[in-house]
Amino acid sequence: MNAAKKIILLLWLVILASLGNASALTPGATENRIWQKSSAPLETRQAGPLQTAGRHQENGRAGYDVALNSLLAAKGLPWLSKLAKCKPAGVQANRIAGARAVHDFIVQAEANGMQIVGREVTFDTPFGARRMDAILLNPETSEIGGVEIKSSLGAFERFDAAAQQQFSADRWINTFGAQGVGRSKDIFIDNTVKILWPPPAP
Amino acid sequence: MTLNFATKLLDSFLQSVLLPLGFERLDSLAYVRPSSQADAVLSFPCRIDPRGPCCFTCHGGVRFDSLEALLRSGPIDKTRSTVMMPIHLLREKKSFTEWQFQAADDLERLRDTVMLDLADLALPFIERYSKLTELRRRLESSTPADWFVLGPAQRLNVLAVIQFVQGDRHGALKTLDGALLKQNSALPSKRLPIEAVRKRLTQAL
Repeated sequence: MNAAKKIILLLWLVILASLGNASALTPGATENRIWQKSSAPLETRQAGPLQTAGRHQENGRAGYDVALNSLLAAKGLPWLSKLAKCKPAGVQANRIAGARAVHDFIVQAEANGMQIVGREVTFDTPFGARRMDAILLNPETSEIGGVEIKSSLGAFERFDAAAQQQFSADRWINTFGAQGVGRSKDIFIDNTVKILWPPPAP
Repeated sequence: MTLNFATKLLDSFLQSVLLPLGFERLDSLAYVRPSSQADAVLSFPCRIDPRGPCCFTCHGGVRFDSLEALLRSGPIDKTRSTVMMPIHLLREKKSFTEWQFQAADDLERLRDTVMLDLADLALPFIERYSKLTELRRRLESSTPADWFVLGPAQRLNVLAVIQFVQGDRHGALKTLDGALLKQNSALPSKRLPIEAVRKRLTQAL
């Protein structure tokens, strides 16, 4: 009887161990969140840390792909590892999420009476070129400003060397104004704001 | 598609659309032709959307050489407009829209739409505001929505320079002095553009 119990216990442990391995390969329960757009006024922070041309919406590599590949390879599933490599890179995924956020913001801004003068407009500053996601015009006052949209809290709060340079460029624009360059050379702005969009759930 | 490649494709397409209309290519995606008292300027900002396509729009503008000489210092840039409007703001709905393409074939499919929008929106706008009197009338409006996409300071600058070239030289300086008085404690971004134009007008007196 004792021997039978031991065998059952051992089998049970083996089953548990294999389940544990399987669970490492399978994603956890999916989390469904629904963004509720607040009717409260948008939070605007003047001259936040922003981004320079070339680093646009690159919200930092999370190392997600690398970690997934290593895990799959370690589990002896090289074909799945190769499949994972086919997924869009983290940077590209962030860019797409950023573009979606900008589009959504533009729709909301227009619904609230603002007008869009342009998208991805670059301005010259002593700290380098500064590309704004959208140029907003208030038709009631004729005030024109640049908007920087961050689609994640991480990107919003980042303050590395590049972000500090962007911060300086924005301070410059907010103080002295800046003229657009290239095909948008006719646009002049004297203010910038950085916002997190969509707004975080309360 | 890279921005460089998309720009070349678009530029080649626009040449086939705009050269028959009398426009001359002065720069990549920037076209100019004489129009009444001014030059008509069409520029086509474009960008690559992270989802793949190249998105572009059109800015229709008018350039008065006589005003530009007083409004700006530095080398003459014939592709810079005195006033301009993005084409979507000339539509009744005014919502932001862009044309999109992934390949040359897509551009061919856009040809009729682009030509129609230019003919219905951009060219009539340019035609209308190529006259200094018409431009002045609109800028003198007290409704900010009439000031094209000029900020308050830029609008006053253009207005003062029009007064200046039309002979009301002291009136022009008075306009700028009044604006500077109102912006006495404002940030340099509100004052510097006005001060720069005032300096040039004083030198031209």
